[in-house]
Amino acid sequence: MSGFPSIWLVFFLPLAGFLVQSLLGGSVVRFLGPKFGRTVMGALAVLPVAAAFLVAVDITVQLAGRPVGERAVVETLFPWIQLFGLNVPFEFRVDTLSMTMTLIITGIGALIHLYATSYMAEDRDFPRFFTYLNLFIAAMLVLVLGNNLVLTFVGWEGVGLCSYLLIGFWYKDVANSKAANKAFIVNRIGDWGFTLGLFGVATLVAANRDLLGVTDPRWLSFDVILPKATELLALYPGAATAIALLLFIGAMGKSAQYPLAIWLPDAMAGPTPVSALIHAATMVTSGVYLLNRMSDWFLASPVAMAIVAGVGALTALVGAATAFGQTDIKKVLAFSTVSQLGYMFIACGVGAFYAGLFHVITHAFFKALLFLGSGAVIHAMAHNQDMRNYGSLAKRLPITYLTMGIGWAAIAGIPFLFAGFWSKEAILGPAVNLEKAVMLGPLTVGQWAGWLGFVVAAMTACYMTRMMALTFGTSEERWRAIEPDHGHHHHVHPHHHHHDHGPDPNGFFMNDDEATLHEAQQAEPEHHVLDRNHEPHEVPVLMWLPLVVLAVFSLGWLGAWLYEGGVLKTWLTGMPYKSKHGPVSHEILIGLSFLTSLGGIALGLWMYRKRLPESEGWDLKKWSPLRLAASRQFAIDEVLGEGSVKAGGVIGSISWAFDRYVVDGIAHLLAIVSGGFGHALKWVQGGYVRGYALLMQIGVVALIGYLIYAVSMAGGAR
Amino acid sequence: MLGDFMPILILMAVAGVICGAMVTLSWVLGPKKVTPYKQSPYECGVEPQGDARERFPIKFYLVAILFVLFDIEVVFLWSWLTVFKTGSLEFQVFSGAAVAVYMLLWIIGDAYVIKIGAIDWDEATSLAPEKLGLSPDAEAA
Amino acid sequence: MIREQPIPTIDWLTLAPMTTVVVAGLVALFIEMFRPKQSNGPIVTVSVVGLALAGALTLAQFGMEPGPTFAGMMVRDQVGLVLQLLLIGVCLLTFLFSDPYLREKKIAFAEFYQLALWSTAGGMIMVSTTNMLMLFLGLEVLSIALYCMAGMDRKQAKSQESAIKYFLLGAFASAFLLMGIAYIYGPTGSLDLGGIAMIAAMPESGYLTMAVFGVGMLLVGLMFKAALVPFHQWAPDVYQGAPTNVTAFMAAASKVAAIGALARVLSASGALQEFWLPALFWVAIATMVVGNFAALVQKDVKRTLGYSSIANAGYVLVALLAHVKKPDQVPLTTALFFLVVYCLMTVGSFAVVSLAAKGGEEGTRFQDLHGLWKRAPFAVGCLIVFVASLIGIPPTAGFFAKLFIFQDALSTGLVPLAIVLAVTSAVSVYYYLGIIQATFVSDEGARKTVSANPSFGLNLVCLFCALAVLVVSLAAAPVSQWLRGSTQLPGEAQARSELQLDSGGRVGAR
Repeated sequence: MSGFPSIWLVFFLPLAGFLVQSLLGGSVVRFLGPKFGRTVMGALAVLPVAAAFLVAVDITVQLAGRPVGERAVVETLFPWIQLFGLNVPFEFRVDTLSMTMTLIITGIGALIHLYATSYMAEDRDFPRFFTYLNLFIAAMLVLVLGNNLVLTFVGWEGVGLCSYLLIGFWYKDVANSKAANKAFIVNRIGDWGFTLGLFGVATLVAANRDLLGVTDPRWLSFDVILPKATELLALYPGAATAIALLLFIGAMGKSAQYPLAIWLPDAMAGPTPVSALIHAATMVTSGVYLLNRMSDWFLASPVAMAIVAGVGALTALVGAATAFGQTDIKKVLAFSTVSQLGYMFIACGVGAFYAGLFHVITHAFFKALLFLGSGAVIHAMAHNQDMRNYGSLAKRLPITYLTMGIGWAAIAGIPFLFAGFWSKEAILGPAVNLEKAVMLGPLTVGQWAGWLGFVVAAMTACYMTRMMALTFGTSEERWRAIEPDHGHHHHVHPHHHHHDHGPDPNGFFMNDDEATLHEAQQAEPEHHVLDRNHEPHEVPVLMWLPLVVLAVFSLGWLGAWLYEGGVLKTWLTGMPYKSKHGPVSHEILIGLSFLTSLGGIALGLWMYRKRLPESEGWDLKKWSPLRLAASRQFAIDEVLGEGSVKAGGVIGSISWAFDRYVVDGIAHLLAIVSGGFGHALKWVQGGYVRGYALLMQIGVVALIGYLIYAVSMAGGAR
Repeated sequence: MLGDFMPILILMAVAGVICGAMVTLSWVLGPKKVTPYKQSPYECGVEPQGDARERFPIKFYLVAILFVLFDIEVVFLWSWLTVFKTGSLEFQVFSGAAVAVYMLLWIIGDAYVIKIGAIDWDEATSLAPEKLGLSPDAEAA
Repeated sequence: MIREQPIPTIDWLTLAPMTTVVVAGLVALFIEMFRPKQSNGPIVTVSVVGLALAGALTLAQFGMEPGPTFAGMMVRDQVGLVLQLLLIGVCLLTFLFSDPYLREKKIAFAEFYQLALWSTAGGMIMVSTTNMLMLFLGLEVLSIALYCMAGMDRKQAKSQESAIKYFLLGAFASAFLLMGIAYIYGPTGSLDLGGIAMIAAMPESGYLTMAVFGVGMLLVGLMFKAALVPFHQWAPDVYQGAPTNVTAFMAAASKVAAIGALARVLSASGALQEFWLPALFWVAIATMVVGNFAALVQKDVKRTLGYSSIANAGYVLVALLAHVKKPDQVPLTTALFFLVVYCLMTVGSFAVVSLAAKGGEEGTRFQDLHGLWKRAPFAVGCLIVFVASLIGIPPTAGFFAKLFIFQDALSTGLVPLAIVLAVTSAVSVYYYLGIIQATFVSDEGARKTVSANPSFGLNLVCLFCALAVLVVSLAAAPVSQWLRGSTQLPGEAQARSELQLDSGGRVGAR
């Protein structure tokens, strides 16, 4: 069985792109001028990812041509960590799961890179943006391709770092930096769970190596431990639950499940391509990947499965409800992402892990599409993100409108014709039919999660219709009322101003003179603001082309092919697909889908048929209490964010007192002692050679004296 | 067989003890009547002038060190010559070549010493600021 | 009368690297005699080419059959070759940033290059011999050049002071070393370190006391060179006073040579370890504690780094002790790995600190580094890597270097040493971070001098060292595998044969 050494090409291409962008980007842009330089660097950013995609396609095709049992290959680059009997190499695992993720990452990644070259064309930190973006792709590939949990963790942290850097990309605005910090800090909680889970796995395997007959020193590698998981966990049901829950905490952080979801809406502070790539299509799904990879560890613990399903259902519901209260187009999509991620965890929680990944695939296409579409709208609206300022944009942005329409139909779950329907079916079918009996006391969590999923489906259809209607529909052209006042502009999206002193292309801060010079060089060719003379117009081809490609993949053919033919399940699990009939029949499920999607859409169309309703206009006093609550995220953010700060304050002041008088006392004592010790040593170090020689002499006498003593104790002078 | 060395050790110990005892005992037991005259460096009636620790040119050290080095060179050559006479031809060629390399190093060193003026006794040239790497303006500053 | 005089068979390749370095120094000396004023260019070129050639000659010997050559005067083995290569590398790195520094500091003497080259050659001899007289010769060649280099900055009293202190104390220590050699030569009539084992194997001979005494004296001489407590006191003063490029060279090269020689002496006297191991155990503890705690109260960066190098000597001594205690279990690789990483971090840090010199002035107090971040962002960025590595923060090689020592100490039962290592490393965070903090303070009111702009060579050194620190950490396993080669010293053949059987863990078969 031959390997796939070309997998390293997939990894090293984006990594090379990262190095090129970071080391040469600034110089190239300076040398070739901003316009041409950015074109060149943009091409150099897109090409490696696109090439990586092609290589990945080649590998996948070869993999598909193999018998089912041989579809997992391990490629080792170099031995990485070698400690007493543990060997953790830098190795990639080429199998169906990892290649599926790789295709999404590189394929959609390449499209979004292409889009971003146009979207970010006016940004003077252009190379820095693509530096981070290429690094992200490389880190994400380490995450999904790594053949051991340690390497997965490296990628896990790598994407977290890139996410942090990109959320705070326009870091001159404190709000963006705070959002970045929030994402980073909340993710630390998840990482806490992940690392403990990792240690748990390591401890469990290490303690039972002999029992399991594991002789390979690479006992943290997936190909060694995964086949043994079921056997091992049957012995330790308690440990199975603990490890599954700890890993799930990690997944909750990265994949934005309540209560750790609070960072994702704030993460929209980053540029829109980032939201599409990292905070919708790829990084946030890494939790689902982790659960798929470690599925045996979860299946061993019914309690953990029930909790996964429950958290997923809760997240789906709360996310969808919150979306109703948002007026910022990207916030709507953010909460929609949270909600859709909830679906994926419902799937995992009921044991249909492949269905979770199925939704990852379809969601990656349509959510990336919707985000990029919203980016196009935002671009056309001069970076105004409030939907109350939009309206009647369909005829001005026809391509964006049509493609986003497909995305909308997909997420709303319009049956058969669009991709979202199929993956939603794949999740909710097994859930309500109780494919895996998930019990928590008398409550059948999995089944309830499934029913709740249908409710959320209706809500999704409704709030997405609201978004589309407010943006493209109605005959009002509310954007004409936008004050061309720069101050207002500043207020709405304070991050996008180019004339402050910031870091130069190398990231170093400039002094005033340099900044003035830099500004003169970087003067905007067009600083578009909407007013009477400027109307929104369709975005450039490099921006709508990715939209069209994504739209094609959001259509129903992909879902039908993957689901109805059982392609995906066979591909991922190696088991043939067979249609199962539970208590709830196929027909009823499809009927429910029709009802929820079309009903939700109809409700939305009716509500927003004419204009922006007063009840959600500029005057917040006219808003209904429920919508107001939704707009404030049902205070979850406050309770968790500020509440934890306040609670932290109380705990803090208690621990402060403890710290002040007990710990500090000890620490100060130590500091005084060590400082005093240091000073005493300083005193010994008087500076006189005679003193030094004396100490040497004392040392010699002590040493030789001791040696003579030791020899005499050992039997005297022999 | 440590015993072979024992007499020497005993001798060293006895010498140490006797020397120490002589110095210490005379210092402890000896009567001390300190007067200003006794404290002054000379007790023969002449007022001391200047510092006893006189400074003299660093040239002395340099020349002295160079002398020691070349002296040692001669010592090495001496010991070599004692075996050179009696050695086989093969040995004479081999060791002659080795000593030639050795001498070459000395000649280079000698040339260097002369070239940089290390044994130049004329202080006007040898201690010129630029000679010491001190440019005049740096001195002034 | 014709006597048969033995003529040794000479393996010229063993001698080639150090000969090349010495000859490069001689050629540079010729150029120095006739050079155009104010240009060290040709001298630097010749030195660098010579070092590169010597490095290539050293590399060519890897994989060759290990064993004594040149009538037992020299020895060729993995340890010696690695350390020779390391010394050459240290010298090369120092040269890359020396010229701009000497220019800024207005030190007009180009003798630095020749002296450094010969000093390197001395160190190379030290690490590749088991003959005590050669050891002494190498040590003196290394040291005498260093004494001169320390006093190279004739205008500064501190530099003069450091040279004379180093010289006096160094002479003192050399006396002990010679005494030790004499005590071992006495009973065995051999100048080879193997004599120690000979005596130890025949306890009935009655020379045991003398041998122990001799080993003790030898150790004193080498511990002085490696700056181990209580023979460390010269280090901070000399490091502070010497020109910074000399300090960089001294801190790295003289430590490598001394530790290399110490490793040979300790290994050769492994049979007597029941006597000296407890003593060195306390020396290691004292070194780690004194080095780290004394560094806490320093106000001068070079001095702080000086104490840091004392502390690092303590860490590496732990590795040596672990190796000597169980040579079959713990290879010498850990110490070699640590030395490689230590040289990278040290040369890099001192290179950055050398920026403090401008226009003949140099301030190396902490406040003199204020604002360096703005002037030399790249160098300070690299300094962060070095400091992180010195502390031992995970993604850097320093972490693995300390981790390996920690493991070795644990696995050989030297648990107290492992604990002291961990605790004192934690203490060290304070003063290391102080260095970084100083470079970021924007208030430059307190500084006396202006710092120089980083030259290309300096940036190159920083880049190389920082990259190497990161790469070595990523590739910790392959690097230690390579360092391992056959890192057994002669006289450990038995241990070596056992090693090949052990395939688990880091102690992989060679």
